[in-house]
Parts: sequence; C-alpha cells; structure tokens
Amino acid sequence: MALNKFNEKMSDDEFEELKQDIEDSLVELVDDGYKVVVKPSPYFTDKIPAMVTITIKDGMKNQDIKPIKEYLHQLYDLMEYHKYSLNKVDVSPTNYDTTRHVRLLDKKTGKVSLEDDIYKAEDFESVWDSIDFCIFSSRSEPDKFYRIELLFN
Amino acid sequence: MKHISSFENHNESWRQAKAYLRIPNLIVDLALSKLLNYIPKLNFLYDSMAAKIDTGTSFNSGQGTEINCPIQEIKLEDIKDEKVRRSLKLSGLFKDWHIYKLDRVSHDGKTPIYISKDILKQGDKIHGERLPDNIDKNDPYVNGIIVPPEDYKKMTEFYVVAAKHSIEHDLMKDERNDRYETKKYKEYKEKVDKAIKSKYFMGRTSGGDFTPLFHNLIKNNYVDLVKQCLDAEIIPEKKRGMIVNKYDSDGNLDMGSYSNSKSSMDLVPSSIGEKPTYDVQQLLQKTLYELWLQKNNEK
Repeated sequence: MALNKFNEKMSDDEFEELKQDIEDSLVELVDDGYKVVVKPSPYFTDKIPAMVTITIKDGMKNQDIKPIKEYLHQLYDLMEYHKYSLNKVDVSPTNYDTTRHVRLLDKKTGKVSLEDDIYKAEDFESVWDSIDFCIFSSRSEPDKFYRIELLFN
Repeated sequence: MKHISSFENHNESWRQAKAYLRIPNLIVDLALSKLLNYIPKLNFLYDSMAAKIDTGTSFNSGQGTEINCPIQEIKLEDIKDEKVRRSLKLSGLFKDWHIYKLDRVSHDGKTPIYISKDILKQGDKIHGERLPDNIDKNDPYVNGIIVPPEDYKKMTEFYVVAAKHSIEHDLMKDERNDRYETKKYKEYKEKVDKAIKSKYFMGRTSGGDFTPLFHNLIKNNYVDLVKQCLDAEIIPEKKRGMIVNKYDSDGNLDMGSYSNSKSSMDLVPSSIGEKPTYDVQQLLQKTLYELWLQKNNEK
C-alpha cells in the first residue's frame, strides 16, 4: 500500500481521488489517443504513491513529444499542489529500444548526473530539458517518444 | 632505443633460426636421447624460453617468479641425478650452462636445482620449466635399473631449466609497446585523413576489423583523432549519429534491439592502462550537448 503525503498509509479512497485528479489533468491526451495509466507504484518503495505512464497510440512507432509538454507541466504542477514531487522519469524513445532513465541535466556544465536525481530538479523546465536531452542522447529520432513513465512521491 | 637494439639482435638471430629448421636437429636429439638415455631438447627449451622473454610473449608466470631465497652456484658433479648430468654434458654446450642450488625445499621435500645459461642471483625473476622426474610410468628407470616406488622418495632434487627475466626485458617491452603504439596511431591517423576526405567515419576500420573507425578511435582513446572526425562532420544529425547510433559486431548500424550493439558513448573505456579516458568522454558529452542546444535554438 502506498503512503500519502503525510507518510501514512494511503487508503484506497485517497488513492482513487489522487488518480482521478491525475486522469482529469491528462484527459485531453486520452482524447488525442494517448494511453494514460495511473497506478500505485509497483516498485520496492511504497513511498511512491503514483506512477503515471503515458504511451502513444497503438500501432504507431513513436510520436513527437513536444505536444505533451504542456500536459506534463500540468501534471507536475498538480502533483506539486498535492505536495508530491517527481521522483523518477523513464523514457522509451521507441517501442523496440531500451527504456532510459532520465537523469538531471546540468545546463551550466552540459552534463547529466550519473545518479537518478531528477527529483533535484528545481522546476518543470529543468525536468523538461532533462527529458528532451535524454531522448536526444538516444539513437532514435530527436523529439520522438513512445512511452514516458513518471513516478511521484 | 637503447634496449630495443639488443632485443632486435638477439631476437633476429632467434627468428632467423626458424622453428622448422630446428626439426632435423630435434629429431636427431630425440633419437640419440633414446640411445644414450639423456633428456633431449635442453638447449631448445632454454632458447625458446629466452626468446619468449625477449619477444614479450606471455607466460603463465607473468613477469616471472622471483628467486626469494639464497642461491648458490654448484658444479656439474654436484648434481645427484646421473641422467641430468649426462644430459647437460651431451647438450653440447655445457660451457654455457650455470647450475644453481636453491636454499629451500619444495612442498614434497626436494631441493630445486636451476639450470640456466643466465647468471642468476637472489632477487632475480625467472621463467622456468621443470624437467620431468626420471621416474615415471613409461620410464621407471634410473641408470637402467628399475626404481621401486619407495625409492622415489629418495630422490632429493628436482631440476628446472630457467631463463632470466631482467629489468632490461621490461624496458624492452616498454619500448616495444611504445613503438607499436606509435605505429598504430600513425595507421589510424592515415585512416582518419581518408575518412575526412570521404566524410564517412562509421565505415569498417579495415577488411579484417569490422568495428567502425570512429568507434576504434574511441576505444583507443585517441582524443585528437576523435575531435578531428567530429569537427569534420558538419551536418548536425550525422554528427549526433556518430555519437548515439549503435553498431553490431559486424559493423552494421543496428536499427533494432540487438542487445550487444554499442554506441560511441557505450564504448568509452574507463581507462587504458594508466591513461584516463576522461577527455574522450568529455568531448562526446560536450559535442552532444552543443548539438542539443543548437537543435533547440534553431526551433
């Protein structure tokens, strides 16, 4: 069972409420044919209450990620409002390529950190740059993605 | 090139005596050893070990085993094993051999006797090959008399043909490596010059080496050549491809999910010997970042 923002066990109702909020913020993406899945974290730490996965339309190879930027921003703000912060982002640039952990891009040095420390991002723009650079560093087409997975705690 | 010349002189003499030219001698040696009951190929054994040391051919014993106990030169007559004595006499070059007794005993209680054409002292490193004990299942005789198993234990010495691994050998190795590295770099430089003209950096390095040239430059930590290639590619997407595209072991661009294919970023070794690869890694990261900035600025 996931924990809520007060570090207490999250009830099913609490989670359903959070899930509904997330889905509402991304409803236009679903209308556009994207598949959005919100579920409790399956990972080792139950401190991550929600995992949001956005996958492109079935049968398509990969899509431009730019149009979903504003939805990701909305999601980021929503979770911030709920006092949750982004903990981890994984991107699959194509459906056949390896999933890549998005690492924080330091624009002062032009380097990505070696650790999974996207949670240290100060604002959404830093997160977005890190995602964009991560895709750019993969062998697939720049700006294209197949699936993106965001974990909040 | 102080040491390399001596190496070449020695080594060339060894090479000129091609292995196959030694075959007749070895056959005669083997035949005579059966007739006269001596251990064949002693000279050959020493010479081949010395040549391996000179040419830097790897041994299982690595840089050699250090003689870590007092060592004393003894005379031929001091050797207890008659067959070994006879073998050294009949090797024809007895005057070249030095015989040493080590002041220690092995785990089976025997004293090592080193037979070498080198002058050895405590602290020297040697490569050695132990001569087979004269008593074995196929030849359980000493001086024509069968030796009962209980007498095996009475044999108190074992014999090792030893060749010295000196500091000069290490220097020779370093010089050889330097010379090899210089030659290798020059070859890669020529390939890069050609690649710059054709603007094709991801082609197979050679007929026998399927790895893309650019990948080999990274693997070898040739930061200047890597930079030359990157600078020469002016099309941003192609330059990005040089860094992020994956190639399989046949040097083909991998468009799928072949797990063993590698990109330039995957190939940067953590170090080559004591030489850090920090610069190559930095260069690739910096180039990729600049391309990313360029992409975003263009939009």
